[in-house]
Amino acid sequence: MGAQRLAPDTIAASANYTSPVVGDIDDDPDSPDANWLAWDGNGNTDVRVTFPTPVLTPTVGAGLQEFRVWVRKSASGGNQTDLDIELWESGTLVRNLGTSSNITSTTGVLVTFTFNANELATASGANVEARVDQSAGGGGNPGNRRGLEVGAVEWNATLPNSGIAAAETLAFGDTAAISATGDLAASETLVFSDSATPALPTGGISASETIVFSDAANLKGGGALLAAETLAFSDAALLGGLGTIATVETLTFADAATLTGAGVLQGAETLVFSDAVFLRTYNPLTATATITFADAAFADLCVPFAITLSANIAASGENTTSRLTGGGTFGGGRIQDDENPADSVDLGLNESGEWAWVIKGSACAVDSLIYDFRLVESDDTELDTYTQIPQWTISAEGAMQAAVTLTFGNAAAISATGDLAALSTLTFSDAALLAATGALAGAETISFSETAAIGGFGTLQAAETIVFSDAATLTGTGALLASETLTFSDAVNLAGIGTLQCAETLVFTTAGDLVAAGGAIEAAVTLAFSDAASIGGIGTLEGVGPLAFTTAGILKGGGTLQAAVTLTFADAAILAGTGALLASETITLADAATLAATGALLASETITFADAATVTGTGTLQGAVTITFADVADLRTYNPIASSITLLFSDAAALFGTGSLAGSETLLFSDAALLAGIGTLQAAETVVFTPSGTLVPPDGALFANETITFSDAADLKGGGDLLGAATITITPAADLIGRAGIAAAESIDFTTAGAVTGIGTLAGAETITLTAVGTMQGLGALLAAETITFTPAGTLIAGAIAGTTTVEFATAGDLGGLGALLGSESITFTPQALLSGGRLFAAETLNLTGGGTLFGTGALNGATTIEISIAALLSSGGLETPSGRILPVQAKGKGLTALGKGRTIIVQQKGKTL
Amino acid sequence: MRISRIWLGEAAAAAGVTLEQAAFRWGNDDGSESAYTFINAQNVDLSQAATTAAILRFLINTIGDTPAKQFKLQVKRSTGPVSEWRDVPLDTGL
Repeated sequence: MGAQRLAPDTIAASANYTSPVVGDIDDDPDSPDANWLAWDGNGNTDVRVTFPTPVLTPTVGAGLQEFRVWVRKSASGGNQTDLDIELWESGTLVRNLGTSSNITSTTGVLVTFTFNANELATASGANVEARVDQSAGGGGNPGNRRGLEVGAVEWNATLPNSGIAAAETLAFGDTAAISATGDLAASETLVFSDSATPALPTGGISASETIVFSDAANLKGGGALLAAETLAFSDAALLGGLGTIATVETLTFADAATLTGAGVLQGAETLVFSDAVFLRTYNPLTATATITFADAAFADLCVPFAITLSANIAASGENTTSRLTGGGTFGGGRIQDDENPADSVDLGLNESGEWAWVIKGSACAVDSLIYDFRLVESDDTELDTYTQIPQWTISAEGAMQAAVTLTFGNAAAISATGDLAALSTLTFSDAALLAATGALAGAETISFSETAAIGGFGTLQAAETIVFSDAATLTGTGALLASETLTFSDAVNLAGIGTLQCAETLVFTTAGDLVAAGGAIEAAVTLAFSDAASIGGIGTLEGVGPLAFTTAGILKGGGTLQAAVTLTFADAAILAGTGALLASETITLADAATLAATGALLASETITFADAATVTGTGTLQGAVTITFADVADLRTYNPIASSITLLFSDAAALFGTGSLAGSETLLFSDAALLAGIGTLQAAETVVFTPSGTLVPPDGALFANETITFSDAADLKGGGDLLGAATITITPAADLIGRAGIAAAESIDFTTAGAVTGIGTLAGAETITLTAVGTMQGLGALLAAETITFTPAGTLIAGAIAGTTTVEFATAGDLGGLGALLGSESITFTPQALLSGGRLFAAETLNLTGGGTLFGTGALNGATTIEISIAALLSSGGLETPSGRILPVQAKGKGLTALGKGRTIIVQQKGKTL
Repeated sequence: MRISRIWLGEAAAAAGVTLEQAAFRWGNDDGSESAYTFINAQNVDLSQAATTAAILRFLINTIGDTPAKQFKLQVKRSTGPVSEWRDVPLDTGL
């Protein structure tokens, strides 16, 4: 039977005590404290106390209920003092249990009387009262009066079975050990603290309100642990029961609490595992509301292996024979399929034995994880040496389901292979590890953060949001589905080969790595890869909305990359896939973004390559509106690159492809832009090479219907045609070295240090201007329908120069080519212009004035007038003019010839006409 | 001198009783104790599906004369979150 000590909780009535308080008498009479109810010196003392209700109904039987009192005489001598102890209920006397006569001890004595619970009107004992009444000695001669003082009162209630009951609080502290087989019940609170160890093989533990296990409390029962409100395990509390653990409100495991029971762990609303909680149970873990694993919580829902029956092994096992090598004399052993431990075997001196079990994975074994096996003695004593530890890599599954929220924090590890589902939120944070092979389904949100890892093969599905942050890793092969948002941030590693699908937004941020082998990655709204995000899958990566790759993002997929709105590659983003890259609006590769895809790169509006963006694929790069290469962008594609509006290469942008580069409106090469492709570079409107821009098309042509501009240090070294429908402008330091023709419908303008060394034709329909120190060394013709102008320091050392109206060499202009210099109207050499070769022809006037020098061996033909002004040096083979007017400063060579009447050759030397 | 001999004798007896898990071999559940086939060579680990039963056989070597022993099989997870050693339970269908 069980027992419960009940201390008085109130003083219902008292007489002849000085300031009586219940706190002075609620201590244990067997180990009383120093407090007493002090006699006031006049009359017999009397105190009636009440008790809390026992946790169980007191057991009926003679002498089973006991009142125990610690009492003393106020002083020695004087009157005899007698004591009655009475049983009362709710202020009514039931029975005087007995009288202890002539109490003489002045230090304290125990007085005990018993009663039968059948004397009680209320069987539960709820109304029991004890009256300690001095029946003699307090009156009479004042000098002889003596009082009885009470130091402690208790009711030792005998209760049914061997349960332990407390009306309010049942506290087990320090090293308290409980091994009762009955119920352990507290109407309010059950507290196990410190190293308290209740072990209830069959009975249950229940509390109508709260059961608390704290510190190193250890619960090892086979019965149920039930709390109507809260069950709390904290600190290093250990729960090893086999029965059901249930609470209608909250079950909390905190700190290093450990749960190793095989029964059901059920929280009607909330189950919380925090800190270093270690959860091990064989059965499902269910909660109608929330299950939370935080910090280092560990849940191992069942033992991953079990001894399994075999059709080949007899019941209770068989003896073994010697089948392994490396042992001594064989002494026996057992093979078992229905027992663990095995049957006892006694090996002889230095003998060896063989033990075997038939096992298979249980529902909790996890694929790809490795399990070790060993033998120990039946009392858990380890063997002396483990030379070999067998291992099995296998998979299995268990289930975990939360109706609302499932949270895994810190180093929480989940190894269930069944469905892991939360109707609201699934959160994995810190070092949480999920190795399940079943489905992971959160109706609303699934969140993986920090070093959370998912290694399952099932489906990971959330109706709203799945978030992977920090170093979270997903290596499953199943589908990853979120109807709203999938976010991978930080060092997230997604190595699954299944489908990654998100109805709205899919975001890969810092160092995120997606290595899908073949499944599709889809987002209906946005696919964003930022920072070091990497995608190595070969499947389709498709976002109906924007697709963004930012800092260091890498895309190596072989499938199609398609965004209905925007595709953005920023920073060091790399696109190395072989599939198509499609964006209905904008594709942007910025910073060091690299595009090496062999498929098409298509954007209906804009494709931008910025900074060090590199394109090395062989596919088509097509932007319906604008394709922009900025900074050190590098384009090495073999297929056409087309833009209906603008193809912009700026800064150090380079184009090495062999395909055509076509912009229907504008092709712009700025700064150090390099165009080395052999295909056609065509712009419907304008092609612009800004400072340092270089065009090296060995064979291809450069076409622009309106304007081609080479400015600053632009360098054109190709062998193809450079054709500008309207204007071709080569500005200071521009270098043009083409073998084919250069033609502009309106003007070709070489300014400052622009150099032309090609062998083709340089044709400007209206105007060709070589200003400053521009050098022309081409062997082809230089043709202008109206005007060819060499401004100071301009040099021409090759081919013919023809201006249908005017060919003008301005101050210090140097014409050293061997070809013809033809001006349909006039050719003018301004002071210090140098002409040293070829034929110089002007339809009207050839004017060498102000020190111009003419060294050519060909003819000098002026249609009307050839004028060589003072200080001009003429050394050509012939000098002809229809007007016969030649005015050289100095004429050397074979002579001057007037070709007809009315023609004038005026040669002046030192102020006189020759 | 006699006391020394007794002490040495007791020490030798205590130090001489040892148990060693010396070897193992995985087998198929396809025959009797002496006839079932082995999956791998001795001391080679197993990689197999969870649902397929296997026989795990141990060789225990002793030094000295050990009393009768009851051995039991334990398992622990050695990768992922390493677990504690736990007794392998009987298959109850859980």
